[in-house]
Amino acid sequence: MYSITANSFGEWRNAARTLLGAGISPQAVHWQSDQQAGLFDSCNLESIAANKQASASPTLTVPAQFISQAKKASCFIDINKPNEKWAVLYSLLWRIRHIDKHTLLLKSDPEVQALQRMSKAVNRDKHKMKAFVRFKCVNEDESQRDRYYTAWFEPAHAIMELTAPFFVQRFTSMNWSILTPHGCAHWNQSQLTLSPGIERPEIKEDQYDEFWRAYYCNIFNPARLKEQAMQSEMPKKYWKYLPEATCIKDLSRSAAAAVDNMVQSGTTNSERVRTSSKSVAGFQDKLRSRNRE
Amino acid sequence: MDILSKLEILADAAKYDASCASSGTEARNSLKSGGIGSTDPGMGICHSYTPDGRCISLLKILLTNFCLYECAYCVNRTSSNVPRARFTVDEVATLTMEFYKRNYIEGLFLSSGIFKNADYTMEQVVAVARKLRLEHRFNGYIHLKTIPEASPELLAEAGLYADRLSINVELPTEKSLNRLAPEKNARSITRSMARLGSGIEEYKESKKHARKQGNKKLVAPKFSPSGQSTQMIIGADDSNDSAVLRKANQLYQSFKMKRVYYSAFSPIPDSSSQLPLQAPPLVREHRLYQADWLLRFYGFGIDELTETANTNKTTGMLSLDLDPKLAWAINHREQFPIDLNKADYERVLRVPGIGVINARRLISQRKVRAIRYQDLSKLRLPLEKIKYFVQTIDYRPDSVRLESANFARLFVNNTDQQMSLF
Repeated sequence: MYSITANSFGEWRNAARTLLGAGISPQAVHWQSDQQAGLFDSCNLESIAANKQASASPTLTVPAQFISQAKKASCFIDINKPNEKWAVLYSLLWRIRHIDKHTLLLKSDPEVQALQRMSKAVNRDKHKMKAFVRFKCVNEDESQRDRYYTAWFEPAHAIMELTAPFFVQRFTSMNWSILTPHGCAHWNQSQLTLSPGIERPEIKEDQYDEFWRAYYCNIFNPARLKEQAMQSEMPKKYWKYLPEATCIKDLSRSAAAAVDNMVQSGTTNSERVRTSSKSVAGFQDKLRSRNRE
Repeated sequence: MDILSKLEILADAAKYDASCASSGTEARNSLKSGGIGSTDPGMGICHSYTPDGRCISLLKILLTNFCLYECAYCVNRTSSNVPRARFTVDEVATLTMEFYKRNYIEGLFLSSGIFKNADYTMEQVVAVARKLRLEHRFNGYIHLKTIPEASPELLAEAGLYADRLSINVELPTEKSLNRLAPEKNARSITRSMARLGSGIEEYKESKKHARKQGNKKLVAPKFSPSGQSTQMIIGADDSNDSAVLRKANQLYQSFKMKRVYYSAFSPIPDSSSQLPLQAPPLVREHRLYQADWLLRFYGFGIDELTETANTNKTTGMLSLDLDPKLAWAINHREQFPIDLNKADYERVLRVPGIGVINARRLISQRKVRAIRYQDLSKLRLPLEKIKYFVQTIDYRPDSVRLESANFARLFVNNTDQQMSLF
């Protein structure tokens, strides 16, 4: 049994390259991360390479799709089986290399499905992070150029590094920090810095949060209440990041009454303004006669 | 009036426009261009959802809800008693920027009541987009509602700044339009849609040409890269689903619409006496969307969807109980079961319960290994539904069931349960 430590996609790739070159099968590898090191002594990759006289320079050609899915799966966090992802990735790599290069096309294969599930979960997490991060300006009195924005977010997977480029390309002429338990990203309009994760900091309300809530409450149509549809796209676990979420309960509760009110309030005479304003009636009559032509 | 109060009024006034899409435009990236904002040619982002289940992607507001038109279905019509407000160009630009910087939105969807006249109104709407693009260097998404009577010069400038332009067709027939929106003109709506359509086409061609020439400079000015869309109100007039779908199909064909939105007329405060008292069931709107998808992505022809077997003979309406694809399959049982190992992609797509993604998966999987019934559950396909319609190397459905007169009843309860999800 070879015990191999991997904490990131890069480390996994290096190890996988060596193992594959040395012809070590997935069944003979035990994957672990630094958190649990000590359970088994980690093997020295160089010694594997040296001992096994690796088939010279294992340049790996694998489908590009595998690499991009593997990068995502590497960010996957499963507290109960933290290293299963590394095992799945190596087993698939082995199969692509030695058994069937079209392995990824076996859409109902358990390992292919596991890879898909992990990369999909990471994708979804990335998507939700892009959607639900909310920046708060911490120094509203400063000039636009010097304003600084921070956001606190807890993604389900370790996706800060993977998602940072999106925020850089979008909020380019802003200074900001996105803080998460799995890593933080900081941007000063020219340089991206990554730092280790932190615990939830204190972040103040932003003056625009009130405007945003006003918008949210008024764009809602009480005649179409469908709370389940909302919750399936915006599960409750995200609500703590969203200033607008405090409105949800009241909007839902008062929806029926609001609709009743509309229906009860009766109808309005369409001539109401026309009879009192010659200019309105004149404007409308001109258009109406044109339309009859 | 303070900005907060204006925002309340002008957001409330904008909620009946269904579109909030921010997808399908060209890729922009402020790291390359400077400024603020980015767009992705693929998926848009929904930054929030309101309890009506609708996504909030854009700041969707009116510049003003003062309006000289008397459209019976509209909350902002002249005779309505709603409170009125008007934003300045600066106020909308600032709100958009500040909302965007906090990551509340993907951009702006700006529309307006008609005040003074068409050109004056359109000029103000364009002024907001111009300010955002040129002064604030905003690279996010902009959707402008276009006034059909505005001058071609203003339309051209709108297309320069906007990712999407739209003109609402409002109602499926000219007769209904004349009755319910007497100031609107069906011919000028069509004329302007055609103008937008050709502007969009020219720009696309110009991009294609430039790419062929090794990314030479474009000859045509930029024009609404995310195309045009429109909206039809459902249930305010007596047009049936067949008429609605035929109109939609014609709009897709003639103007290469990206989307036709269907908006079930819903109770509005202070409604007009010209409207029906009863709002249509929301399921009707949902069925129309499903039929629209079949038309655009599933290779269904307009005649297949509106043939009398599919819509009720006397009413011309789609079934509310069954989704239109299932309804079609039940009416064409003789074409089933479909052999998942032999049928081409188009046939596989016809199976109720198999969507575009799973159809592709099945096709790619069977190249490696023949499809077995067990594979269907591994792909998490809805077996209860598809088991009547498919055949695999180890499975054939019970043909007695397929031929039974009560076949359709098998599905009605299931679909009821599904409906509550929407």
